[in-house]
Amino acid sequence: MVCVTGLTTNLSDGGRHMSFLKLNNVSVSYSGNAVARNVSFSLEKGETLGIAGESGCGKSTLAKAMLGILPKSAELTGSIKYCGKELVGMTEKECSALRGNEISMVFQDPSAALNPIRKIKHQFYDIFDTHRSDRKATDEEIIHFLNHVHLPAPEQMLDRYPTQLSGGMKQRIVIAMAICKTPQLLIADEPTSALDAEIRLQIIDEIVSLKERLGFGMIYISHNMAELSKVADKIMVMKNGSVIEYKKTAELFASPEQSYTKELLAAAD
Amino acid sequence: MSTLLEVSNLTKLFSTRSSQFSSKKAAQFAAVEDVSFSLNRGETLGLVGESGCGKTTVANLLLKLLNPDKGQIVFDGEDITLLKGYKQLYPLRRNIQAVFQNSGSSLDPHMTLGDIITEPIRNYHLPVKGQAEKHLELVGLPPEWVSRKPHQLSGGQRQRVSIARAMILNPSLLILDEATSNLDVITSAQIIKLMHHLHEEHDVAIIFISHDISAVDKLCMKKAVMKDGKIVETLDSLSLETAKHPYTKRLIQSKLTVCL
Repeated sequence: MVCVTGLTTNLSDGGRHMSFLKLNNVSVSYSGNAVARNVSFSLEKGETLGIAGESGCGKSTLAKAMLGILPKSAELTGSIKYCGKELVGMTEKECSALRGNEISMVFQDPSAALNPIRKIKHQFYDIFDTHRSDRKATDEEIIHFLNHVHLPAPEQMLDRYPTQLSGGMKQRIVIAMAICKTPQLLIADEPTSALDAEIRLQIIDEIVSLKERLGFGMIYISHNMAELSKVADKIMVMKNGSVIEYKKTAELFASPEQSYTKELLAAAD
Repeated sequence: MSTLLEVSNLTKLFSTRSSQFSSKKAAQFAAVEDVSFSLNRGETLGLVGESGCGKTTVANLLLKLLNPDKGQIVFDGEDITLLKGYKQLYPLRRNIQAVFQNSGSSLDPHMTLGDIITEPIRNYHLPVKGQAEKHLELVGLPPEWVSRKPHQLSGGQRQRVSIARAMILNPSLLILDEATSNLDVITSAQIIKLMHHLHEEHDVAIIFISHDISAVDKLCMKKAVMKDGKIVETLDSLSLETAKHPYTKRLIQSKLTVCL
């Protein structure tokens, strides 16, 4: 296995300025078994990094490490710097102040991300920490964000339960929830893999257009290279927890070096 | 080539509830409506369409896990539409096997791979010796894995075990219901390659149900496009040139292609 820890130097300025997000030799292990090994990369604001690789290669573990939501049994080493702040070793209180406000996440399965027995508006109230007195103003704000993700008749969505919505609608709501506190960094972990082909394309376009309008930095995780070609400025390929290739998107598609990357690209055709 | 399966005007109705928490039945809707198609021996048919369009209901009707409200299913010259109960279905199930989407839930976590794979032949009182190893090899897994349990395998490996279990009775029809949807792209491509190989070597007819049109295009000779419970178009190639129905065209346009 080739472990490419020094690849960041190809794509950054060699550390002359403070990166928006910078991971340096990040490793995650459970009871001594490494799930992610010596991962390093940097991301600028407004830029999108695609992370590719098969199931179980450590993509989602890395995302959880950046959000500070790894289980207690995980051992995290290395450095994760967000706007100069070190996230490794932060207390839960400090992490939760960043989560949602600064760093937000869209997960793969919108059905698991939404509470099935609570109305959509109540799930937004939780995010806004809304009290009974200011619900009317919050409703208007929710509609504003539901409009952002192009949900039809957003005012009718407020009183619906997740089970009354299609998979695509639920994922749009999850995306609206992720952006409603205007985060600076969005982590999208396989946001379209639970969706139909037609809806998948719409959600990809939605995320790309939101990123352009709101200007946040994004980490987009997928095992589909065709999908990453639409969203990512640069792509990092992972296998068995290690980064095996890390290049600008066009460069990776033009000259993949590792045989695993070539296999991934062949499967995208 | 002789006809293996003839489906005519198949309709399945389901009742909806008046509200989420009510047990009152409000109305009926057709999950499958007037579906007709035929399949020759050794042929592969892809059934594509969005979630909820009725693909899985068609599979469940063919597998006799559901009974149709209207229509007829003729398999191998026999009308199986009204067959019910263990005794009547016992001979049929030997010839129609299925692989489902979630290999995690379709394999018993307490059983070894050897027991899982040979369960169908034990049910039909056929010789078991050496069959588990042979079929593990058939699907590209090491024969010494017979004593492993499903949790020790990856999603793709578990799906191979499901395929081995389905193939052990040498069925004439194999129904794959979103069998590659839970897998990553490389594993999915490997499973499709395996199905290609099995189809060519064993001459088994395949109905491959998927919302991934690239996967269907790679494996199947004929493609039927479903929408709202109906087959809107059947065609040999999923291309914009050959597609006539606007929904088929939309589906083809939604195929993810590399965009640099």
